[in-house]
Amino acid sequence: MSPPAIIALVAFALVGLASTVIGSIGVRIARSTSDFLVASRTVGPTVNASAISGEYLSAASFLGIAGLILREGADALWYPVAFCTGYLALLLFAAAPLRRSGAYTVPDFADARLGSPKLRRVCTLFVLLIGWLYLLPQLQGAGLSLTTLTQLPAGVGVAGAGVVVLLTVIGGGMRSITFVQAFQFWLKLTALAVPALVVLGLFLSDSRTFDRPTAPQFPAATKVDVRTDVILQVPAPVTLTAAGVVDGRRVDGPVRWEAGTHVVAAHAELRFEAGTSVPTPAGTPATDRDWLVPMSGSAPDQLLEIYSILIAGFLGTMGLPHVLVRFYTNPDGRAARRTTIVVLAMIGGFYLVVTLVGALSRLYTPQLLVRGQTDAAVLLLPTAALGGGWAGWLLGGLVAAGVAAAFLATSSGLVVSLAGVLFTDVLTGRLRDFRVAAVISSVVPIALALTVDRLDFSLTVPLVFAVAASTFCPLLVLGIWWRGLTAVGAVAGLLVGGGLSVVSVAVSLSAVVPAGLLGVLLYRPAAVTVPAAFLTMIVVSRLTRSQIPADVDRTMLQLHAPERLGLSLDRLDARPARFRG
Amino acid sequence: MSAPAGGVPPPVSPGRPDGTGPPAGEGGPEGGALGDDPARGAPDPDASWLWAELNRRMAANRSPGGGRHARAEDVDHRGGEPAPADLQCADDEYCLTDPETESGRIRVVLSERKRVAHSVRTVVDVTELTPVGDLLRTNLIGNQLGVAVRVAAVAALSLGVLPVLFALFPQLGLVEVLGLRLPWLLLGVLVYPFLLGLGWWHVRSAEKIEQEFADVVQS
Repeated sequence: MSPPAIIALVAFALVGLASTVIGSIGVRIARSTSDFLVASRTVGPTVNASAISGEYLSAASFLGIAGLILREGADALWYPVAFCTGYLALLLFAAAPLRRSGAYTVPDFADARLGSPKLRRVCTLFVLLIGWLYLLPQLQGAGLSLTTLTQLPAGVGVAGAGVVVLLTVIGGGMRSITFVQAFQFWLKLTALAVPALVVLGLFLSDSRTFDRPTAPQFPAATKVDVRTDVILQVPAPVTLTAAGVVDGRRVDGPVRWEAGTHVVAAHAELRFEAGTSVPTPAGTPATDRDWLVPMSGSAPDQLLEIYSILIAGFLGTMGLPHVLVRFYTNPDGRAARRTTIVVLAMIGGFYLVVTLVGALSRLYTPQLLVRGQTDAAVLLLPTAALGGGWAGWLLGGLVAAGVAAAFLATSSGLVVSLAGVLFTDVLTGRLRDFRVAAVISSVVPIALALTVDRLDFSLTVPLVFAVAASTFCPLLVLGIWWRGLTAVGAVAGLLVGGGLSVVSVAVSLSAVVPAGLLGVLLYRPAAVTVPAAFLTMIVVSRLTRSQIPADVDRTMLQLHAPERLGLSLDRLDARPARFRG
Repeated sequence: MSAPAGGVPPPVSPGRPDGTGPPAGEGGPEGGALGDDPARGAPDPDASWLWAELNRRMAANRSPGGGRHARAEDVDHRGGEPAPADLQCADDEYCLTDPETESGRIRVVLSERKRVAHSVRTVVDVTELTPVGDLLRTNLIGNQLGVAVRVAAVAALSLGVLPVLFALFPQLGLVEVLGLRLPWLLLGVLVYPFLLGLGWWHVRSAEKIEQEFADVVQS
């Protein structure tokens, strides 16, 4: 094993160890059910915002964003913007009322508002679905990082991440992961910002520029192992040495590619001399000059795609169960709002750095474009820019630590929110069951992650957001602001929005999707499924208006009235005694 | 929780003790026209007496520390009004009146742990006055929704117009400002402080609305 691989492995291990140790501090103070579910509602805005940012900025999302920027340039900037606007929407439409509902899980909020056991069960189902669907890329990403940096098999990374997550969650639930996630956020930010600034300094002292009429060029002679089938485009003829199946023929020796597209099968090996133009994936901007300007790729329906991404990000964030459950940990609605503001600042700062890294990787790690593994851009940038010395290795180790922290933070947040729902809605709700619930919540996705093929983050993450935006977002927005919502309407909307988006996830992940409008909508279903869910909820609620809950006005008042009037009620206190710790 | 024992001014119907039942009087939350709109029908136009009643009752609840310890020294200044003590003190368990005290001062004993009991009492205070409570609540929710929608509209318009602009005027992508291409400057850098500013604007407005609501209810 090479020195950078050993450093990366040590970094992974240290982060896992530190997380477990910090998590165990929480174990000592976690006693009651309220501790496990909502940290006894004592988490202040700054700590909570760190924890929310820690779990929200999943490695899948920021590795994916940097990779997309490397590949698509200016158009990819919409992804981080969409993810950040999600918190603005959460602040505007949900943060304070969500906390004031006094609920402790998302299904419990639905129950508090509409008082329907059936709705509660449907919500439980979607929480589990979204949570497991989102855990999958997280765990597989941990595997990818381990493989990229150390050449160990991906399964080790998946299992290792799963075990650490379980250890941090099982002892103290929400109490312990709050500290762990806050720690992981700051580690992640440092781990990304330091190398980004170092490489930026290098770039500024350099004469390199992005504004070139050519494709990016290999900075040194490069060997590229193509790991997945890829269609590449070259704007000008390129000479390379290839071994493997290229353009449908088996070749082993020098090849000259004319301008146009070329198909390279998986497992081919391509060698490029220094200074050769880098072939780019078909459909993405071919030259750096195109990469710099928006709307330059040749993919059709780009505008629709951008709007769909924006809708999914803007509305999907408020449907993510692990994000929502953190708002229940604030002491009151005012603190919930303040938390969101701090989150907006933290996430904005973080995405600024991610954008910088993605842009710089266009110069330093263009070989990833050929390999079809742009998700690894963040991981490889330090060593690619600084060369194979200790400086590059150590910075690479720091990045590895940050990425590990990101996987763990998101996964543990998801597991704790899933465990909370399983524990209160599926199991008996006795404290011992929380641990059983935590085990179930993490074992299922670990098993899936080990058996299902990994997909690009840029595919899986937006799809999860689309499902969240089409289910819980309409439920929250209408539930909080519209007294006319009925349980029947809510169930119908959840099933329509969730059903449509889940079907499109399944189709786009399992089948070849036709190009054009239908293809874009299958990959980015939010533009259709979100309005459909809203419309269904409204129409069905109007049709069943006789079923508006009798105490709706009191519930609405409780959701919106400031705490100083003393209207708030903690639903955990209202539960039967056996649920209390 | 018990309903006010007696001496309630006749127009104010107590409703069911939990505040959910149909009130005996006109236009309760569940009686009358049941609109689905949050900003539904304003209460009885002749409800000015209710405002006065509400203000009078809430004045007794006012306290600098957030209303947990209510002092009602002004109660006895209201000549001819029946049984103010009962209005203040719906629940004998937590609310003690001293019959010996000439001033009619009310002592509300509430520890931190009894907040639930306190809150229920306040719910009764607010929800019992159905038409006024209705007006206050719809006002609060409508105002909050208005602020949220306004901020969301600013965000959606300013961000939503950018993709179209970039698509219609490709030369925008070539403009360089501060050494950065315009799309990168806008979408990579400036958008984050912009979103933060919008968020801050919303928090300020929302807290102001809540402040006003609480002031009206408690004054």
